[in-house]
Amino acid sequence: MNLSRTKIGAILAAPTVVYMVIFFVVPSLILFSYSFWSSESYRVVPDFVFTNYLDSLHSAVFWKVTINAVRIGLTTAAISLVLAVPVGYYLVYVSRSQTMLYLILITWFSSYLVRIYAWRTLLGTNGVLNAVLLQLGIVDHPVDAFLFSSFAVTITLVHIYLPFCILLVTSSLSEIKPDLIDAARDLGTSSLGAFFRVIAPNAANGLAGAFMLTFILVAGDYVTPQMLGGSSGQTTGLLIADQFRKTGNWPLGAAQAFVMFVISIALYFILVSLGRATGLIVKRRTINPKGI
Amino acid sequence: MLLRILVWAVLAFLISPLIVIVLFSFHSSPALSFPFAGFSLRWYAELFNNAQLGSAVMKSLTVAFLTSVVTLLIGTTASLAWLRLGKVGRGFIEAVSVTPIALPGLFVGVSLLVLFAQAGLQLSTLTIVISHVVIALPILIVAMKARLALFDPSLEEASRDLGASQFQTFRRVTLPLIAPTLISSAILAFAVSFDEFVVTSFVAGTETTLPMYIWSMMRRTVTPLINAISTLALLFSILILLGAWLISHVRRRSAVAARIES
Amino acid sequence: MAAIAPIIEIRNGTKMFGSFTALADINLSINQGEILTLLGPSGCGKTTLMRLIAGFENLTSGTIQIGGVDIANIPPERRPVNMVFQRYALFPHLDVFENVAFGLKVKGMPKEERTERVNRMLHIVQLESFANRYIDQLSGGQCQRVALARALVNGPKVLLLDEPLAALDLKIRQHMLAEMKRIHIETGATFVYVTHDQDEALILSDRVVLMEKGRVVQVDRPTEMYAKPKSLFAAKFLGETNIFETTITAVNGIGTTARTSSGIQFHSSETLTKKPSEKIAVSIRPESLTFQHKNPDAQSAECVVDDIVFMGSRSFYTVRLNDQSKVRVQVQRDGRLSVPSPGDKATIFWDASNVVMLPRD
Repeated sequence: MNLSRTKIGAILAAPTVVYMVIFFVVPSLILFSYSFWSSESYRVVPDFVFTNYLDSLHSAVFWKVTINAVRIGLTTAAISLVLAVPVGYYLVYVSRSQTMLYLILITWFSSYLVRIYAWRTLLGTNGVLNAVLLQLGIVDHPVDAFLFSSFAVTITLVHIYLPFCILLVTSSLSEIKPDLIDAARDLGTSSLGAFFRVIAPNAANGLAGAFMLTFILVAGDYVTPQMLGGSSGQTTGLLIADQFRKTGNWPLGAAQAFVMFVISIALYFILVSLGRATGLIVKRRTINPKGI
Repeated sequence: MLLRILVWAVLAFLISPLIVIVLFSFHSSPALSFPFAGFSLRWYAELFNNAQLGSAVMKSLTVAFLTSVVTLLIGTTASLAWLRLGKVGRGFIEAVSVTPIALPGLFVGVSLLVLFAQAGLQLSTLTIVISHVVIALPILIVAMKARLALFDPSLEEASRDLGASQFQTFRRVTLPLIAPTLISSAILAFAVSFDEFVVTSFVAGTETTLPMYIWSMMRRTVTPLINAISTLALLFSILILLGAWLISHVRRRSAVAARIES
Repeated sequence: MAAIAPIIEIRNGTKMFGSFTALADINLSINQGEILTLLGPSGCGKTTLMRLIAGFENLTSGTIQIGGVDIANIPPERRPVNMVFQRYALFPHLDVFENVAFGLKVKGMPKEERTERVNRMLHIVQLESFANRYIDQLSGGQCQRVALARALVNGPKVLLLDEPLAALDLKIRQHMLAEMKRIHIETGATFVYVTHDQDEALILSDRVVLMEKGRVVQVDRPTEMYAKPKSLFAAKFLGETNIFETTITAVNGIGTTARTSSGIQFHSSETLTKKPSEKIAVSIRPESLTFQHKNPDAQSAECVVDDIVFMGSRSFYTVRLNDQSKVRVQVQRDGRLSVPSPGDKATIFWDASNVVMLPRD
């Protein structure tokens, strides 16, 4: 029997596609339909109502925690991107240091909870940071305010998501050939100028993508704010997670999840059109011209 | 030069919290502060006498092993499909299987939870493994995509042209070329599963994996025991990464060396 | 053609990468207005030499002067040279006009003057109608012109070209060579051209710098280098040649005579500083060998024809000498002359002026 190449391909693709459809696409759709169902005495009843959405949108608490999540997300993603760009640039154009890449991978793959715990240790009242500051005489009694603050949440989230952001930035920069930098310098720009005039415009789409992905993951992370944020650590994620555990109003949680999802997408489009309007993001051109 | 300093500062920021944890895991006093009172292995000794912890570790190892096997099997078929499909087919595989990377664990966790509830599936080790594969498979596909971009599809055609059957081609040409990537991805799948917390917390039911156990400890008290567990977990991830690296590099190097010799 | 005034002077230039010597003690003057080719096999250091001039690498020891100024501490952006990159390195986010205008814009040239100069340059490379195209809408040859224009518009003292035709196919390559010559004449700039392709070097250059293993082997006009290579490497690298291992039998006022172990004798009208019984290599180009002697003084050897490759206007014969060594003979097509067929016995002839005697490697 001689099946065509693509037919064999389709058969071989089936396990992956079927698995992901059953365990990713279908659950997402169920979750979406849940958001229109209603909940009666802790039981989920199939229905078609918009109350879950309306309740979420009219809830002051929901907006408070959502604004908090968006704020934490934007701050963390911005800091991560600003730190990731020089590291990515270094890894792609200056030294293809394998050691450095593996150090980054190790932090990426080191346990999520361990890193949260590490920052609790570092920032606690009896923590390492306070001990160092006391020793140096910068403060005369331990600062309580390090922990359970948005500072603690942000620094920890940057620590958790920066490696991922670096990897995204590195892969988007590595599409841009280093001889473009040489060419820009040959034509009279400094190396910093070459970055802003040539690398940044060509990488803009990739960098915006890295920012957005980091934002989405951070804004949806509720464990870190909960563990390190104290009263400031209430985010939408925690609200949603609690719906699926304690109070048990699953339809409401589902609706809140999709509101968050829509907000993320809206933010992405705002970001991209802002970039377009200011000329920071140019229309995408293929990186490899013909004949190469 | 300024760039180099900045880059190493960022790296120091990433690494130093982990070093602090390792350091305190050997602290002889329970205090998590300087000055250091002295080194001891007492926390490690306590760990090994903790039965609950032992069973959590066993649970995590079981889950991670099953996850990596299932991911490897499905991932291998996906890789072979990738080589045979055009732009549209590849785009379709990517669309359904890479998106979870870009979503918070919360979303994946709750949607799987509603699926299991709707299907009447009891939360158990099985549901944990199913969920972990949903997270690990996309990572394998991304890694494989990068590797297979270097793979020339005409290699398979050349092999058939030289008289090899479809199976022989797979055994002698395709598999040796994609195996290092697949195996190192499977190892990464193991690492991801071993460490997974957010999704697990929704689909684990009454099962306790190691991250779940650490979480319950973290919520109860701050004890240096966590430092010791964390250090071991860290060591474990480094070993896994090292393993993945060795497989993908040594295989390539030995292949090159063999070619030079012959 | 070229005014004899060096624009670039390299003295004792040595470049190490770790313990690897990329360039060893290079001394080279590049004259104002000439096309100078750096020719050699890959890894000979020609690209390194060019990158040193451009400023992307620094010499380990020695000096480079451009227009009499030592450029050791001048970064690439402030050197009076511009480069055409091997894969063009055109900016994909800019259109043709903006690519060409890039250097002038960075220097802060006023918009009006800039536009005028860019347009003039686009006219020279015949791309006026493509000004608003993006790079991915251009063919390879057009990319090449943009790269040339982008570099030349800045009025560099020296234009550096790093294997600029390597990415083009043969037909466009020949066309671009002619274009390059025209643009050179029109702009009057000094061209330093890196290539591993001997044809490009012979067609384009005023002078060829032949390099091997980080050293300059020979600097000469193309015709000179082809006719009078100074080493076995030069003879073999530039064009095709037949090499005979010989021993000198006589050196006197009328020239040098040498003989192979099988008794074939070569006479050159040059008087070498070598002594009889010394070993020497003899090089004779395939086109210098004939099957008909026109000259009574011609030297000769008996042979058997092995194989003929017909190439249109000319044919390549492989013949075997008495000692079984193989020799290539190029025969220009000429219907009036009879030529041998495979298996025929024949005699090959050559003139003393075509015998080049070279020290053995």
